[in-house]
Amino acid sequence: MLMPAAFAAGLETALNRYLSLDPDILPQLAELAGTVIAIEPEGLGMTLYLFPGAQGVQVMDCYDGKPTVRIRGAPLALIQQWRGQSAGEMTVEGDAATGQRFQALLARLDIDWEEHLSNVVGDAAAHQLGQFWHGFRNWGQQMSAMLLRDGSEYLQQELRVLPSRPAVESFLSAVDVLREDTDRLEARIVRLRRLLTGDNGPA
Amino acid sequence: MEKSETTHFGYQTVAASEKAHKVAEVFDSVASRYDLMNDLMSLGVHRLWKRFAVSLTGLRPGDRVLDLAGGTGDLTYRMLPLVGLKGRIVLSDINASMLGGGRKRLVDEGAVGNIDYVQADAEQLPFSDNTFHCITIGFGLRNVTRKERALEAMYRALKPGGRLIILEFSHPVAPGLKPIYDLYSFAALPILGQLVAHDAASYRYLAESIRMHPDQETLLRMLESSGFERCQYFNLSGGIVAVHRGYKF
Repeated sequence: MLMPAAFAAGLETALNRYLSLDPDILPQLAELAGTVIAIEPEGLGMTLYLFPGAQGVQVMDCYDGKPTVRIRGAPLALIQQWRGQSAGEMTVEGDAATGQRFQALLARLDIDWEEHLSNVVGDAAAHQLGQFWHGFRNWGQQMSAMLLRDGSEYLQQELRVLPSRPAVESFLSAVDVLREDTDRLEARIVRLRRLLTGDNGPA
Repeated sequence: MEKSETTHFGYQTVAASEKAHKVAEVFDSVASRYDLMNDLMSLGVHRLWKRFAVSLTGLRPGDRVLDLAGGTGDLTYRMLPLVGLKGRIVLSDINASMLGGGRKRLVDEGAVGNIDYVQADAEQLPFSDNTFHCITIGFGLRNVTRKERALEAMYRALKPGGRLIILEFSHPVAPGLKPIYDLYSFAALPILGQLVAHDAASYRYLAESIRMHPDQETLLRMLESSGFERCQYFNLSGGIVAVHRGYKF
């Protein structure tokens, strides 16, 4: 009986702790006060209602009023959307602009981890750790880009099991042209049939 | 000679006129550490009990709510977004220290504008008939001297279609829970009270007052006797706490 409440409480605590790391976010959240954002992760059987305000976000597992916006989608798609990445299929009902404003706020959350870390380990160590983290992140990004590029080249040019991007795009364009041609041909056949049978069809 | 009316204050029997004064002493003593003690005593679960109670209110934007015995404003804070900017909540408590603490906390949270603060006795509510869409009383009813009179006052102040939500300690129903709960209440709780709030007696009163409070079925019948309809209750944490709900039609 208390599980949905516990889930909402845990999410609220985590979300507000995360939001509190960016000192500029609260005034922007205050502008959304009075709106209600319903998040409906498919498969979880529950809806979470977010109430943004000057002190953060309250999360409730029930609301009998009509939310300003309701966002429904697979949990992974919702998380990707929150992080500002292109997400899978989602349904948005109500005031989509409110949902977009809230999502944009979360996506551009600018957390100065180095500053927060310096409160714990001191400025010098925090700077060193920050430098190490930035270097590690850049190296990771370069590595993943290189792996992606080399992998696709191997599959396309060595094994020849995948077509290249220009070939796929050319093929898709040809399919589009063919679809439009068949649509036109179908319309002509219908018109000819009407002429032959003397049926003028609907005006 | 006419015998004076008596009631219970924990396990003691006291004159009815004295109970409110004694309860006020308890809450004056614990007000400053009330939130901390709640967290320690319930291991934080009181927040979930309150969330569950709020989920039963069925509040909509624009509703008017009376949060009786609202203390430090936990329920009010949770209900504010549900009633929205057009709704209104009256936070009420008989105890000035608790009400002051609640007001300070809510102002600090930025919750201002649609909250009124009223120091009032639940038995004699200073509100017109048919005023509120919902009345809540969280962990307060057991401290009221004449519970029937308070329930009748709440019924009067509710609008037709309005509902009363009572969140209160109750009687454990889960098998094997009662002996553990009794041990915790009478051995650990007063020690915790002494260590944190420097007041073991107040927390002994808390444990005793819970035992003297009507059990789930009795309180349900009291609600029905006061005129409420479609009454039901929900046991939480094995019956340590119960939420009663009744409608006025």
